[in-house]
Amino acid sequence: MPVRGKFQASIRPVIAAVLLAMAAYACGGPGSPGETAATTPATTQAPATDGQTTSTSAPPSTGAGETSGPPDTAAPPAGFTYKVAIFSNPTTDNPWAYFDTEPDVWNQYTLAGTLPSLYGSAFPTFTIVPVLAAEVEPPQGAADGDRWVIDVTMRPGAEWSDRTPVTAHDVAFTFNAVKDLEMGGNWLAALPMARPDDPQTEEDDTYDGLISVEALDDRTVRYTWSARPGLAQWQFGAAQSPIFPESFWGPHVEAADEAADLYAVSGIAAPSGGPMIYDRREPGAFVRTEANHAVFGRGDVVTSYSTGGATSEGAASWEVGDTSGEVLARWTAGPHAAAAIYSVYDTQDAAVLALRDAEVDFMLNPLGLQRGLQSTVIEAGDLDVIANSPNGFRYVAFNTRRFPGSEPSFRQAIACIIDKEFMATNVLQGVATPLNSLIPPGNTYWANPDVFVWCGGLSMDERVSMAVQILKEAGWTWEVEPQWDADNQDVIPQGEGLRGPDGTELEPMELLAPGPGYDPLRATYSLFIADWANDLGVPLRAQPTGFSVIVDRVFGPVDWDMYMLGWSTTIFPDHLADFFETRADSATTGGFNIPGYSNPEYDRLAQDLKSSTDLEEAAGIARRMDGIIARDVPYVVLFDTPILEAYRDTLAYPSTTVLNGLQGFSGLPGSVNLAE
Amino acid sequence: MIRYIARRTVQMFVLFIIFLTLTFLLLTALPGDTVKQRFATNPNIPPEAAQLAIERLGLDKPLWEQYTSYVWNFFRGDFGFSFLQYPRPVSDIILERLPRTLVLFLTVLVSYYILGFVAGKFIAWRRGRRGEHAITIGSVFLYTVFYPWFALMLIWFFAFYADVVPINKFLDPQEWVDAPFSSNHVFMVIFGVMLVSGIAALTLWIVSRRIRDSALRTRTVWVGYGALAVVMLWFWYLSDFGSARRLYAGDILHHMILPVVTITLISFAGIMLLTRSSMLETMREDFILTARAKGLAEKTVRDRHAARTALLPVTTSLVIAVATVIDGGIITETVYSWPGMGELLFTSVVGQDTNLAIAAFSFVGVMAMVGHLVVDILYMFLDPRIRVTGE
Repeated sequence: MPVRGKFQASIRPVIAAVLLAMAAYACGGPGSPGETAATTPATTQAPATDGQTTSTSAPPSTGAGETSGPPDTAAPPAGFTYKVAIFSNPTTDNPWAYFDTEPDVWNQYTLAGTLPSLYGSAFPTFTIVPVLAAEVEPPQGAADGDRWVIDVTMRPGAEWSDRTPVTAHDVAFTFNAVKDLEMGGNWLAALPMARPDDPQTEEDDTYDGLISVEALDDRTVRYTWSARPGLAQWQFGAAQSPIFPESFWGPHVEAADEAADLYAVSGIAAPSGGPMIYDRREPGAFVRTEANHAVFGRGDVVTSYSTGGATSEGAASWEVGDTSGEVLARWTAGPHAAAAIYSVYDTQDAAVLALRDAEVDFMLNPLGLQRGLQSTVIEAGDLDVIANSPNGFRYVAFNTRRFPGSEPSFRQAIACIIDKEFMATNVLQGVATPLNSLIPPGNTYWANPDVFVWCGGLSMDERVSMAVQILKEAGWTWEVEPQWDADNQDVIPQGEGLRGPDGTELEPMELLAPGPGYDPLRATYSLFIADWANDLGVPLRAQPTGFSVIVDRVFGPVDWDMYMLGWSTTIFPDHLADFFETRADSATTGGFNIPGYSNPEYDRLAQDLKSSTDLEEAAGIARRMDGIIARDVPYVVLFDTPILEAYRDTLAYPSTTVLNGLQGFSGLPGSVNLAE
Repeated sequence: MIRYIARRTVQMFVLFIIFLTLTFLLLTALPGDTVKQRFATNPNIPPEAAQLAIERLGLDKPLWEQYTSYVWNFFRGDFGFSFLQYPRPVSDIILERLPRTLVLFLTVLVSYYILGFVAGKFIAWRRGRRGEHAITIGSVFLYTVFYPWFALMLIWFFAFYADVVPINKFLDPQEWVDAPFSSNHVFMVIFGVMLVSGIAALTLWIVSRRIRDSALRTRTVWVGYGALAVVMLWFWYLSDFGSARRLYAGDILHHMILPVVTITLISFAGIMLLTRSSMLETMREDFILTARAKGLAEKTVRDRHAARTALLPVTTSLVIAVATVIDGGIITETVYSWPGMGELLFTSVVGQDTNLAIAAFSFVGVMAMVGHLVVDILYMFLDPRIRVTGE
């Protein structure tokens, strides 16, 4: 047999396959890279640290700087495409569904900026500023019989992207749709409704809320409340809730028997009232939004000040707060980009390569850039890396319902012996920032920089002595008392036979913590906490496990001792109430008071915080609450990690210093511009 | 034969019920649930919202009621709705993911089976020579390499450094922003073309095998494949339907290159070694000696006698692989940002989207069982020594 024949026969199947592949591949090739660039509005909300769901007292609405002013009817500029990498598939293009059943941060990033609101949060200070409202600050309203009425006047000239006016009827329509279809999820926070009268609970103010929203005329909206709303309900709630265009959604709401029917409708054709219009969604691949040149406020010059104030100069001028400080950011409201494309990458490694290869200009991730990839990004030369404080914290919690977590002295001793500075500097190698307050210092208006810290600034031997002293003073006893051995720089001997004030011996305890695969920092931290507790004679064992396992354990029956998790919080610190109010006990009411902490004084302050209508008063209350928790320590706030982000240096943002990073404002698609 | 198939079908049905039950129980036994994952970590959502979500998803009902209701609906073709994408039907999501996985993994399958079979045949025939050692060592090295690392290295080299293929994804957004078709539509077209051309190529191969005249057989094969290529070119370049979709299909195929090459490289060794051992065993058979004694050419002995017999275990492996292809590859789909069935299985389990996970697993289960049945039936045709008991 000739060699040629052998060869032919051997490779025939291969040739056939190649032929078919060539025929198919010849049909087309890779596309040429296109232009790129821009935009979407910011949200005022922080995504949850765990689970990546969005928290919501502030729904995705147009950011302050990204709104206001007459529409520019001139021909749109060519612009650029703002190319953004995201790490999961946005599952819906329906903003109603996003607020309820699909509260995914990836949906938030892509849908944010298509819906306007009456008020929004200024970038980067989070000060409440007007968007579509004529009044600079949310009106306080007045009593009307046993109800509370707030009338809001809307600015003239605001239009949807289809050039129909945004009216008070759209605001009322949104509320009525949510109410009639009984939408849940984040809607219950964005539009906190009064619940039906119940004689058994009529004294319970958690049943107070919005009764109705009506359009008195095209530009006047009336909010009727069952009682005077606090800041969380009004200024940080309903006033910033999104507004939907009745012209598009009205027929769909009319036809819907239940919320699910509405959620099944695609929102791609819906007119936008924000800087971006949702244009296309290719499931699993990308989402494209395009500039809304009719957005209200485009072209206005917005300035934010270090004192929290903000101004807007243009067709709709306003000045909010104290503007005597230095200028933090000044920019012209966009959108400047012609479009934004959010490409889905399943891994950060691939996204970083895409970033270096100029396939994308920015990466959106609620957890930021992995530290290990930072050097890879910096090597590129044309990429800038920024680090911002997160609006959240990671913590260890005690079960205060049962011994020994029920003993304040026990919690205080554990809090005392945890050396956060040592952990941050020596163990976590500067990756983490030690925290002490339930309101992170980056949330400057509300944070308490002087919050009490157990054993703050003490050395390890002093911590051991202090912890022992705390326990002794409370009546705890040991068979063998722990001693600091200066020669060995360790606790020798460790405590043994520790008994509570009533003589109860400690049973073996568990500290549930996320495993190293989920969060190596907390996994490591938990080992050290257990070790330090063992020094005191506390039989504590760190138990790294799955996030779902921890959530299941601690939100369920109270069969746990201690756990570690994290929270992302909102600007208005109503989480202080949610996390520690007696009536929010997770074991009895399904609330978020997981430790089961109960303190009548704290409960009163929580009520005051929620009903407060004055920012300064509320800030004072929040600091007092923070102080109580710092002393009682149902939580020991431990640390958080800065949010690292990388972007191409051809882009210019109004500012890159902002709490929670640029991702907290969905990458600012509505105001990002090309660098000069 | 019919009795055998009927009996196997009943067995498969019983097995599937057990499979479905176990899947349901295992998924519901996972700690936590989708509502806790979504709402329990958001303090701004009041408890009643979580309760509303629980009721909507039917999770407030007793487990047995959830189970019976699910099974009843399942066999009526209603797989329920996704918990994570409520109220989107599960079937809708699977139909969105399935074409992507089928196109990628069927291509991969054809690619590495052909390469593995040809290489296996080659090294078996040349056993003990340098070529065998080189191919075996090289392929086994690839077979055992840590896959995610290897894939990332290939992405770095070919997509980033050499810039000859795209970095991940299955399409280039810039190309698709104004596309008049969805990517799924184009995937379906590609799948259709693959199916039709595959059937045509297989038919041609079978027909050519029956031609005794070697020269005529060769001509027939080349003319046939040439005609197929012409039809393909006509479809993609001249027909209105195909040419309108050509660029988009090309973009998808461009994005497929790297994953196909990667999986082919790391997988073909398995088939190669299977073929090699099967060939070596076959070559010791008496009928091979007889064939040689008859004076047949070495190529004829190898290809028409030894390789054909050695194909049996490879065929088994192929049919099973085809049956399980729809589960995709979780690692492949994740590393290459190719959101198909593998990624769906993973995200639905992690997100505790029970309805979606059960439906996706059931798809894989049913296909695997049907695949086994097909193999058993196929064996009876391929190997005269095999007969069903009682037949």
